[in-house]
Amino acid sequence: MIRRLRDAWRTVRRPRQTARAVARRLSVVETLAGREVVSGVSLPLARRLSLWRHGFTSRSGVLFGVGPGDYDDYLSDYRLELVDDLGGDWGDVPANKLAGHLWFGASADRLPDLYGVVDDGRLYRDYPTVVSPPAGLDDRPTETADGGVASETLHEAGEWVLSVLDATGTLVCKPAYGFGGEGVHVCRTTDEGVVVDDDRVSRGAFVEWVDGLAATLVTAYVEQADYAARLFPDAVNTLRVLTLWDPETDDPFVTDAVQRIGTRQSAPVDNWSRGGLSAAVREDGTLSAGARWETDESHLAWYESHPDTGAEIEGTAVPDWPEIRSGVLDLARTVPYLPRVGWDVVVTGDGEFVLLELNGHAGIETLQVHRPHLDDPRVRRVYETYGAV
Amino acid sequence: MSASTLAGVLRPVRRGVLAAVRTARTRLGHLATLLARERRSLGIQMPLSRRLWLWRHGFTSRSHALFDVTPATRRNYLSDLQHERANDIGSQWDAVVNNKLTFQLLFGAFPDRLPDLYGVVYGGRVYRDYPGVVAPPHAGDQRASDPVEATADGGVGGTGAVPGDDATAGEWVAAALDAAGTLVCKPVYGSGGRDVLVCRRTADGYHVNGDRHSRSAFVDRVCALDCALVTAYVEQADYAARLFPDAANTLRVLTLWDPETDEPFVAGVVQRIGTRRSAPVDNWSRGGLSAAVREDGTLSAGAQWRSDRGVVRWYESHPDTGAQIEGTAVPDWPEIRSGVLELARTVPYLPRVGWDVLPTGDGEFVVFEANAHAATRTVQVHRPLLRDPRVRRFYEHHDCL
Repeated sequence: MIRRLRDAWRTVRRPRQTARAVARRLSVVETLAGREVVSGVSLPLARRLSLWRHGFTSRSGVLFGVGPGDYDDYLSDYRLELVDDLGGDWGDVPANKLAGHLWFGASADRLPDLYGVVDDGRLYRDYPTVVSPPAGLDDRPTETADGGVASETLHEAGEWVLSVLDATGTLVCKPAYGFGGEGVHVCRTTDEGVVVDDDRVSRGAFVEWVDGLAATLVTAYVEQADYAARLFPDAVNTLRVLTLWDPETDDPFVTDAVQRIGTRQSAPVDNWSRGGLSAAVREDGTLSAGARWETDESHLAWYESHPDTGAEIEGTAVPDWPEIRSGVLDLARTVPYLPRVGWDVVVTGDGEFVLLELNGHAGIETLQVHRPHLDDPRVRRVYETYGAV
Repeated sequence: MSASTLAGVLRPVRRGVLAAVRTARTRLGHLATLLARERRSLGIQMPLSRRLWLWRHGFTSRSHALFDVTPATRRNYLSDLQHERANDIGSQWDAVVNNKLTFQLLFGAFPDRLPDLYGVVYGGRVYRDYPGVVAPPHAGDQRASDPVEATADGGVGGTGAVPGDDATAGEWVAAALDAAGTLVCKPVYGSGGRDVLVCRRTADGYHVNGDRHSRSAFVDRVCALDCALVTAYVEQADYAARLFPDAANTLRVLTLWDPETDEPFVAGVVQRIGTRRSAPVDNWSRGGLSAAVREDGTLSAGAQWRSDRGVVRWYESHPDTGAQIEGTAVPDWPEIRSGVLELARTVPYLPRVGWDVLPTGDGEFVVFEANAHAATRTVQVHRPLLRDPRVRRFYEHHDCL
């Protein structure tokens, strides 16, 4: 009987690869269907069906204004999900922000200073890219004779972070795993005490809060360049730069870049999914108008000037954009196994920038609201080479 | 009803359905893994009733040959099913730990505990802009420990000069091998010692895992590598070389993070010993031996899994070299143990790690890899894991039992 079972298994095994491919596509459809259910967009059924047939969700239909005639110029939601697999196993690595930091440790001036990692009340600093703590602070809270951190010093990590904050005035706590700015907190000391994002907390509460964090990076707060601060001072306004590795030239190139701009809704971060704006960075480094997805009314709105600060967006220049672009490409050249990367960088002035994170599964909405992604023949050719479109 | 009201109504329903689907998928995944394992061990002879009994208690048929599982002892063993349930522990960090480059970066603050990294080979080119990358050593050359920038040197060939980063990967590695004499290429993704190339330069050519290559054949072979780390070859301590010189004989140290004391501890450790079947690696699944390291640092007899026959063979001395295994001491075991715990303490988000550790002498060692999903059979073939109350507490804490 066992032999018969074994033979049966062998015949079942062969189509396994096919089954896997089918399962992958089914899971894409499941993802898209889930997104469709919560999108809250109102569209006539015929339009919806047409979008679905071409791999777009209703939301994308509204965002990109895509329709018959230019379906093929846009990267559809369905294709994006398949493109997502380009990096293979590597694609999941950048989701870990500690790994992302360590990766570029050879370009330390491109990284925010990393003070340490806190987890469950303890401080960990044994990583190659960790910087020395500000003057006057020890490397670790308390050490036992054998070098280990004493287990009774459970609350020392929070105390330590507070003393770093006292010395530096500002710092950022961001979880090793977090999506769309989730869990990122900007901490400041002011005359009235400690402020986390917009909330004033007591020193004791701050220590307790830090001690409750799981696997969280404590980094320096990066001061953005003046142009970015003028756009919206209460968020770090990052550039999202998408690079693709061109197999023909064996070199990466920038497909698109957008300036993300925080709003009152999204602060202290600038994420699109939290109500931030996206303005295209044009070839000459100037910005287009800013787009925002208005979740309440489920439509796309355009702003030539900032809805909260009134600062001019359209036409504003990202200073030294060519230097920034080539600096990002230098980073991309060190990770050839990631053929498609979304880089989140803060421009700090004089052509310099700091990498906040990289995304192995970069979304496309913030870029495609400005122009169809596959309009560029080089972009299309690269995706075609990878078999993704 | 408007679309947004509909969405509001559907949201909790969707969330519930997705959660149920996820649970079902996880359980099916466990079942599929166990079935696949079972398929490989169906050849093991035993009465059907015994097989059914094992299945009912979460063990695959292999356990019959590997462990002394009886109604009286079964609760002391971590079953196959319980092991699969433990897969979720720290699983978010898998992507980082399973990747040998990011693993190396994660422990970069302990360079003495890692083999020197010379570069990463990908798509026929070599990449060296990573923290901790060192230049390959070169006899009589002071550049040995120079940083990355020091390689803009066009020399190629048997001169020992390492070419610049714009050379093809094959040329670069061949020149590095000329200089260093030995090195290792290991895939960034890979387990069980698969596709690890131990490269040696001798007077008569370039040897890869013992096979002689011409220079051009070696260059081609390196250029064809998918994505691999190029690292130093690390000499093992004398005692390990004596056991079996043709493989790196590693210690597998299983550390668990004790939720009660909030500290990692060593839950089990075995000396893995290569054999002619497994060389140039020492992996159990490829016919290597596993000997328990006792509290005092001496070895038990070595067990070998003969997958072709479905039996465990025990050896007091090595089947190929004749070297004594049983009673042989792992020198400075207490130092090695505390060194591994020191590493484990820096990664609290990895509560369960199987460390592959190569002792190099005088209590020193290097770590080849850390396995977040380390198999437990090489340990449990010697003793049941759950007999230790701390180990049981760990698995209970993570809802695996």
